Amino acid sequence: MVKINRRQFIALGAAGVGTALIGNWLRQDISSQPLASSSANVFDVYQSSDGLLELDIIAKENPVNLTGRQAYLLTYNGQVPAPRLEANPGDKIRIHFANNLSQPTNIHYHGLHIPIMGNADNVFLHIKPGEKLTYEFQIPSNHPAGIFWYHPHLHGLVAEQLFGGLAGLFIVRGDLDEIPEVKAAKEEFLVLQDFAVDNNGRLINSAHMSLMMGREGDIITANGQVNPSLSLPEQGLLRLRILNASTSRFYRLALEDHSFYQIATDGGALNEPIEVNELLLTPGQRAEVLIKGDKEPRQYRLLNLPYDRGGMGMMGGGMMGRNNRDEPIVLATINYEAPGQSLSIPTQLASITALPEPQTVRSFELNHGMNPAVGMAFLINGEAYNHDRLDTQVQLDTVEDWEITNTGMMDHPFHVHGLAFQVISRNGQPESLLAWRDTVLVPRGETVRIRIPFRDFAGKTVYHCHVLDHEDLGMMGNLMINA
Amino acid sequence: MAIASVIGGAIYLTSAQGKSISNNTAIAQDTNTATLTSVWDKETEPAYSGTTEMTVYRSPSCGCCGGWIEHAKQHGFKVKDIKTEDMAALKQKYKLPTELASCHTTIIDGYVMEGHIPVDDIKRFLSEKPELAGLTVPGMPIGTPGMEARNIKQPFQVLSFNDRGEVEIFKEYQSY
Repeated sequence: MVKINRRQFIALGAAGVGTALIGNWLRQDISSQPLASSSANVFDVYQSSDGLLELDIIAKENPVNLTGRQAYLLTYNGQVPAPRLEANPGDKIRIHFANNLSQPTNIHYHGLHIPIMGNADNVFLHIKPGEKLTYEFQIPSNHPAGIFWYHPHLHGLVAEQLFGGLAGLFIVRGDLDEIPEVKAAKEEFLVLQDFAVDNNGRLINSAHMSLMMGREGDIITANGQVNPSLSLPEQGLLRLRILNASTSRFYRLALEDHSFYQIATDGGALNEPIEVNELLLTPGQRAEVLIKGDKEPRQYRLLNLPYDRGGMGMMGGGMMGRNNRDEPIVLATINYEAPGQSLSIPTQLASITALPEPQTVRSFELNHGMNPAVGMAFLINGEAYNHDRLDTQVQLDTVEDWEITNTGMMDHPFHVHGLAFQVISRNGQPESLLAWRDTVLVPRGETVRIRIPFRDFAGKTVYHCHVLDHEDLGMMGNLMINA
Repeated sequence: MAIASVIGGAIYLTSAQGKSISNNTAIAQDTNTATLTSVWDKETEPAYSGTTEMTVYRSPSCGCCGGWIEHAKQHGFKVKDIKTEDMAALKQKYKLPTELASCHTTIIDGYVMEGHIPVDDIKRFLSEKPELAGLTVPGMPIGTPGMEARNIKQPFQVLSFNDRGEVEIFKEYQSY
């Protein structure tokens, strides 16, 4: 939100403050000193052993080094991003959670296919400040390998708490990790987050953020660092596993002089790698790519390219003087390291099959507008979220198509909890790529049709826009899966 | 429940699931206890005698601009409501700096009035006839006219700006 002191004049020339700032940043970067040695070192990692992953997680405000300054962020176990958890299919998970925040909270295990009731992926849990709760569940033995994550999901506070820094990776190891080329590749994780703090390192109050657009911060980090350094073995492969843990910011990724070989989406491995020059990740989405170390050995910049997610025709959701919509931003630097094992891109990764025809087709319309009950809100089928209303009732062991139309002027990434789906078509054009996802972008003015198998777990959960301010402002529905 | 028809072996639900008439009635009854009267309904510039014809340009897909138009009408303005897909070009034509943009753009007396400005501020501005380009409430702060939402009231500023892109506070709303 714009905040100007009284009698202050600001020259808003065509170039603007933002452009100059980014220019500086890029120049600084080209002549830059070695940065962090490896981003992989920044996480605490907890791995399961003998079929059990058990740990304590404490949510609390904690001073964190953010761009060389102390910032008071919201953390799990004092860290941003939070500790990385790793488990195998069939493992039991036991998390002793304590809420030492000043607000109630809970934990959503985004993308995991686990029970949605009880002390598992239950977004209706309400853990008060000072309270504890033990999360306990089992990863199904047929669970796909992939990048999942955990973050708060108490409706009304989701955006604020995630934007404070509460997010961590939850990795399920499995078949994909055992493919020889993937196994031999150098593995790195990238958790993308943005922050807005004042001069004292305090998080900017939500009242001053652009809630309608979805709040964005001017400090963009990968693994909690600005422009960390990653290494790519010459002749080898870098396996980059990326999570967009931002509240609202989209990332349109490109690596200078290199293409990406995408091997996985939200729900795990693709059938075979696809070569792409750019990768768009909306909030909540994950992707995995292989990068070939076959170029001249030097530094290359991983860029976030401009992306217009709509709203005001000409403006991002950023803050005054930080309007970086029109300039690429360096997210990380990739350095060639000494030649490693010579590796090629694998050809076969998984065997995803198409889902059977749906028993039911439903339509969902996304927009914002005036609702008689609550005023201005983000709406699904004209309704703002109501805790007590069941919006969609489905039958376990059935397959449904959901046709999601965005009639608004902002892009909305649509996320369904606890389930993976396949995209069937976009604007009536059949989708040829078979992939499992749990979050799909529905751009403004467009329609996306997804096919969802309701399997294994009955109960009540939610679907929503993953621009989390939109979710908090009403763009969510209750889903009842009847046994 | 929703109206359903069977096409190609699948059931098409043609209205929102669970969005039955009885549900809507229940919501409407809720609102009787939590009324949605707006703080912006009150007229603060009753002596205004200037231009009342304004042209509002808005995107056909904008869900909130209509609320502001209602606010303007309530305060005595006659609104020419023009829906256009290309708001970006329009804002460029009127030389609106990117940082000052909101959703809809209003033209009155040759001035540019951007976004969810309380219209009584427009009346005060027009009465003064300043040598400026216009007023703006950048972004879409929640709580502004046409953006009223439950109890959320984001502080905001009405900014005046000139042709050189210089900005000054015209009015500040910290709590309202």
